[in-house]
Amino acid sequence: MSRYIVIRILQAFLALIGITVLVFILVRASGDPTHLIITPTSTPEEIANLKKQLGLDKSYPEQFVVFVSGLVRGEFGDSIIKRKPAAEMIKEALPNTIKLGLPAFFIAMALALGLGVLAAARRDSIYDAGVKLIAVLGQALPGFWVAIMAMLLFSVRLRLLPVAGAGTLKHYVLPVGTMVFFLLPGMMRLVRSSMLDVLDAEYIRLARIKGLSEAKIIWKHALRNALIGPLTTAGMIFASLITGAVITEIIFNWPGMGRLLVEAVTARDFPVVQAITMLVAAMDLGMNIVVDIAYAFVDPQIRHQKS
Amino acid sequence: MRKKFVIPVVLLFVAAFALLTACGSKGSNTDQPPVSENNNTGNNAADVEEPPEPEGPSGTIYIASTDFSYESTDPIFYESLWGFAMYDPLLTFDENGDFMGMVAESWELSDDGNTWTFKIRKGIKFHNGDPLTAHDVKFTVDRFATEESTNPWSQYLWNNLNYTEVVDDYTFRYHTNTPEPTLLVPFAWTRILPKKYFEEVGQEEFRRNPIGSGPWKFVEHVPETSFKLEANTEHWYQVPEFQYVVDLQVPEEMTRISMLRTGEVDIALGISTDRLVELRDKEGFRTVEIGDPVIWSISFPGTWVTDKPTGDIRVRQAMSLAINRQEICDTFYQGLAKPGGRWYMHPGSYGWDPSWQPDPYDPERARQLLAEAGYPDAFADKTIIYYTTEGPGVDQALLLQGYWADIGLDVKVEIIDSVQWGGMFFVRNTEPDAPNVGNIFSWSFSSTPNSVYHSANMYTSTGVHSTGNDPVADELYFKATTERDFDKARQYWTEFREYVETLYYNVGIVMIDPLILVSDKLGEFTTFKNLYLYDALAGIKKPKK
Repeated sequence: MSRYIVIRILQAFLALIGITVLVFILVRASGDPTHLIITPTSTPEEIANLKKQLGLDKSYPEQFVVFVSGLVRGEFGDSIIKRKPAAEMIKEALPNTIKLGLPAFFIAMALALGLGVLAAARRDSIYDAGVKLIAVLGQALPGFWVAIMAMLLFSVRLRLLPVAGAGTLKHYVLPVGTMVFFLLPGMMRLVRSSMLDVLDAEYIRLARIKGLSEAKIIWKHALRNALIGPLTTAGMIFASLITGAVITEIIFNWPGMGRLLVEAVTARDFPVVQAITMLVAAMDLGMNIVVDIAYAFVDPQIRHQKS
Repeated sequence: MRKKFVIPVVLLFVAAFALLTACGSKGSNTDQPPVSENNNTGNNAADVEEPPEPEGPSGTIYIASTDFSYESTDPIFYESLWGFAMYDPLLTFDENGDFMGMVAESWELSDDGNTWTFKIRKGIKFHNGDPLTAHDVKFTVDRFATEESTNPWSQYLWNNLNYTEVVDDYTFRYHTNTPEPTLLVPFAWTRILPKKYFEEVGQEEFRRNPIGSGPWKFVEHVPETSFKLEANTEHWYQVPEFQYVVDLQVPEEMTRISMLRTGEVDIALGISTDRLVELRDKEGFRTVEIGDPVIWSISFPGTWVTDKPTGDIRVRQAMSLAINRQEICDTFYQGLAKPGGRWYMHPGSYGWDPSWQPDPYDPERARQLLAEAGYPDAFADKTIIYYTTEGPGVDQALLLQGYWADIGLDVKVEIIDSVQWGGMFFVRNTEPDAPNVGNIFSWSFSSTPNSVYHSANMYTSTGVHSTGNDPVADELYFKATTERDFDKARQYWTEFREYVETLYYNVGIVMIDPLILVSDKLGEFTTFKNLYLYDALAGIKKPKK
């Protein structure tokens, strides 16, 4: 077992090295950021000086050595645009993303559970139709459109909520609500279909024959077994929240990771793009290792096969 | 049974909505305006008893900006515009593009053209109460004129710097290696920092808590979110009527508009023409002109080496004559633009001649010129590419493509990435087969009071835009930029710009009005409207009762 864990960690480390090289090459392949910074008064001397100041006058191998040696020290370099450490920028943006993502995640999961179970338990009823409608709307309507419509209705027309920003608790309602609207449908449909599968199972019929209450059957026996699939998906959604909800953050002016990443990519801000990508890659790899190890613990077949 | 099933569902709903509602409970944040604070469609003022106006600055101006960009308060970086509000410049520009003393009360250039003497205005104080003297000016200029600075104006100061000196507390001298009278331009972009405070706290702390002598004092900067300033009630030139300015970064246009509608902001920047006209005409929002018009022009790199049609001046002239500029202004810009404009020049720029007019719309003459040039048969390579990036530039390209098609000229519009575009437009490359050569590049940007340094890149044979290669133009540029008599220099500049216009290296299309949307909470804008919004903020009055 310990050999298996060591192998998985080594594999993850190799993957991280591969990602490091790939990220370094890809961001530079996207063009020279000084072309976005220079102005119509810039002379060739100034452009050369700018490249020197930003470390872009060095050859790619030299830049790679600087990048990797920075990584070893836990440094991602300074943002080309903001001229401050990329790590500091992530430190500023990450809490905002978490503040938005966590409530949205838990609200969406709670609603998905409730509505998914309701739709499955009352299959083909008006409740089921309502849930299907929400699912279709949530998956079909463009995110930016829903966000703007919510803003126009609740902020501009009704004047109930602020348009944008992150200052007060009121500022959470629209962005969180929008995120819930998009997180909800997929999860809700998954809960519904899992529940329907389970509700058709023989042990559920047996429970009914035995005279158990419908509530007990659904909440105690069916739901527990139906949750395995949705929980795995929920874990993946939770991990993806780290990169932020780009559209929500931009429309509601929320200074989180999604907005930071879009701005950095647009401006070819290499250090920031590299830092975010490396962070996400490291987290994903870490999560994968945890899951793999957890599987191995849970499933003896995997444990024995791997060892 | 049904009831027992429903209860958990209801509980889940309640839990979810409780979370959401809890989010909506009242909180506090001083930087966020209350919803509808200055609701444009709110209560009738006559129904509400107005509280007496407090003495001194009061109230807050909220701005929705599109992008904070560099977010720096240190002028040796690519400067963010907040510095214009916090620091006083050595000089500035008046509405005619002439220089106007600010920290420097007066200035003179020695007979040999190598020594600038600046008399520093007495009585200016930094925000911490320290007096501003020639020592601060020397400290600032020495720091600004180094290669450590990536501010685009620094290069001109370091390129020609011999040494600087403090003659006395209120006299500063700058010695150059060779005479360069146009250095007044970079001097006008040099903002004076407090030497004593800077040296006491160090560079990093200064960047966190900057101090200047301008009409606004730094209060708080939340990266990527907001920047707050407070009125400097002891400013030597203008004390603001408003107490605070809060600049909010709002990247999405619809969000900026919504914030203006709800009164969350008083100024919305970066609003597209269609929206601006709609908000002005249908919703009664006010527009204010701030800064110089945006000049939309097109450039032709490598005209002297290319085999393509743009190498023939008659083709370039035909392209200009084919454009119905008035129609573009009336329809595409809905009356918010005027025909004409030249590379970084507009009526009001240094050296502008009021008699200058854009080419008329004359498709017949354009067709005739194309025929004289033998288009298309005379050209081995007939391909002309108009390079543009995503956004409004695409609409502009398609407009011009239509006009050119009308005279029988085929131009291909290619939408490319902005980095790739910048690499072609800002790097001199005049190889005949270079991708920029023989093609067209469009540029829309705010004009400027003095275009001397911008013009070097467009019209001289060393310019980065790869457009200039004319010895007479080089000679005229040199004459205009080395003349020490200001009136003569201005005349020479007009002559230079008249001459280069005939080369059709760059063709001005229209001048777009520099309009911003403002709420009723703001009154008249009184000073420095010709510069940037952040220069003009101190002059914003309260609305008249």
